[in-house]
Amino acid sequence: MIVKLENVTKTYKSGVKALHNLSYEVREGEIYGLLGPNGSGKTTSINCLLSLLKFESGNIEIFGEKMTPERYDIKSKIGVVPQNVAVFEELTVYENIDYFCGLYVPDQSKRKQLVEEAIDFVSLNDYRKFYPKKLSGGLIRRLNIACGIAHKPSLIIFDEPTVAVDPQSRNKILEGILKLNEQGATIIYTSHYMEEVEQICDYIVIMDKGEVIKHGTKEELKNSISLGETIEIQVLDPKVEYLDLIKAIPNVFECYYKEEMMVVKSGKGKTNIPQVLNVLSLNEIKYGKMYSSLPTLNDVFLEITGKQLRD
Amino acid sequence: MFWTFVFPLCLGTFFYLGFGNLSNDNILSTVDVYIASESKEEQLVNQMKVIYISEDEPLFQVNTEYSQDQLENKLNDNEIIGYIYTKDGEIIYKIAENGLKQTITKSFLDSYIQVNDLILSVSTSDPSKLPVVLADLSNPGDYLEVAKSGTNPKANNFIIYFYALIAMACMFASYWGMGLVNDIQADVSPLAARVSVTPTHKLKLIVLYALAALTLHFIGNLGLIVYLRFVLNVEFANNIGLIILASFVGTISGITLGAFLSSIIRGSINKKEGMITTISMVLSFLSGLMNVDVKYLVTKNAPILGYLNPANLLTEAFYSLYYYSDLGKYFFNLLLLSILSVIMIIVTFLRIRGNKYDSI
Repeated sequence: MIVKLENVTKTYKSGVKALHNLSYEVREGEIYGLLGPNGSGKTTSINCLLSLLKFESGNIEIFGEKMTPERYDIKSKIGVVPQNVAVFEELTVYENIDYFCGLYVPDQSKRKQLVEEAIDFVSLNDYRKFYPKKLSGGLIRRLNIACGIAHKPSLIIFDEPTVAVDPQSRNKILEGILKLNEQGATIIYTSHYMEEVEQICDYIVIMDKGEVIKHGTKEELKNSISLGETIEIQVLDPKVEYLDLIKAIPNVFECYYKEEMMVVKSGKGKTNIPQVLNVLSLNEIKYGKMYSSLPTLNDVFLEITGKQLRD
Repeated sequence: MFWTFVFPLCLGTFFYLGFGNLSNDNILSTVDVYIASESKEEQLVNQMKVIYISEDEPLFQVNTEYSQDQLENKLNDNEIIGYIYTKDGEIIYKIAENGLKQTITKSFLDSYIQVNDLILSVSTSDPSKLPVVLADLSNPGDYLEVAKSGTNPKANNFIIYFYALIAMACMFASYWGMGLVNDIQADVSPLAARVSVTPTHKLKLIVLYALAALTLHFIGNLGLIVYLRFVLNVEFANNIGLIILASFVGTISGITLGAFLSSIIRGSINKKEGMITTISMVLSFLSGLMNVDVKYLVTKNAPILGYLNPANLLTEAFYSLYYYSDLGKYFFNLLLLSILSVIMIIVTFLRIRGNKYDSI
């Protein structure tokens, strides 16, 4: 195991219980996703992991060794990309990366090469002499990443690296993370964006209120819930009695209107599209567009907690 | 950067412009001093009479004809600017309003009281040294020298304000010290949290940051001293090297003070900045950087405060160059300042080393 959290409990002085017997294990070479809404304890667990925060009970090991603030040998193998951009406003892009890399790699010639590679990696070549203030949101996030990975760590922690980033930059960041993983780095990735976690993570922990509420691969998580399919139909003349007609179809367990769309949820098994269409035709219900989708991680979260991931 | 490089130069220029408007006559004309007849002290009167601006022009014209009540009436009628009387053995100088002549008189009285205290102290602690001290004191002293060296109207009586300016510039280094801790203490900023998770030892970081801050701020102070001495032509006598040394030690103490305060004050950067500005101002105020009388009051009533106040130790070092030409006192104050700095940096390190925080 690269990272092992065992029954970690953390309560802030304010009385807020941020982590409650939290446990998870990260294996070498995987991209490990921590998914949960804001305030679910993702960042707190990362800060405990890095020995920044005190916690009342539990045990944390990294690379098989107990983590403490003085374990500089362990810290030297970790790269951190914090949620909030943390760079020096007074330094240029190049100087910032060089500074943070220098805190890990004292050798100047080696560092020079690493900094160049990091700048290449995040495609900031054209901005190396820019000060952070002059960079767009996406570019400054890339600088934030470069500062955390330049020393080529074997464990990299990304804490919500795509917050407030445009879609193009977000894709670049996600591609970069996959590339780092291909190069051998173990990744811990926290996010409240289920699409991102679904897109890049090998193993996912879903957190809420400081606890792990479900974990597994994305397939395992989706298979763990009763929902098999969601069909959405644009009903042109929506009436309440239509809902009962659809609910009568075997395997359908929920049907409701969401604005002008009828939402039909059914259990696992074959698709229910033919049966739904049949009911609509037989009852001369006029309809327009129709979509069918498989369960998402949001559905997993919704089924377990009764609320949306982004609530 | 503003407090390091710009503000002291601006303030120095303002001082120069302000004092430059005062003519030589304004500064060094004879001052009429009234002492209540019932409070007349021969020793004080004699001391005042031996000080001359030039060969035939005394600094003080002493009058002891009137009683305290009469002088009080004269003061109320604006016939005199002030008078001296004693109450319970304490010499009091009562004035209607502040002014240059009043300041000169007050400065003299402060020196007189300090010298008397010194004689009393030596005669109690080591009477064998009394003849040496008295021999030293029989010399009209630095005060007369200052009064006589009236060739530089921008310096002399007002040079003390330029010393105070250098001392205050040293105290501004506390902002660097605060920045030092803010960049390392994880619960202060995301940047500090990021630095805290790197494998570089905290002590190494503190030392490196402090050296960088010292270099920058000391360059700023050197610039200020050069500007005061060679652009504004402020006469620092022949002790420019000692001023630079005091400025160097003062900068270190400013940085360590800022780091120390930042490490013990919990809260946001803004809160820390506000607190450090306030505390620095209070320390400067208590050390007499804004009003020399306050320094005297503290020294007299709560001397321990003076020894714990870096701003006070620094001004003491500067004043010992200016008032007393006493290198022993100068180096003693710098030694105390250095010890205080070492203590503050050790406490800072203990506060932020290997810390885990409740929240960040």
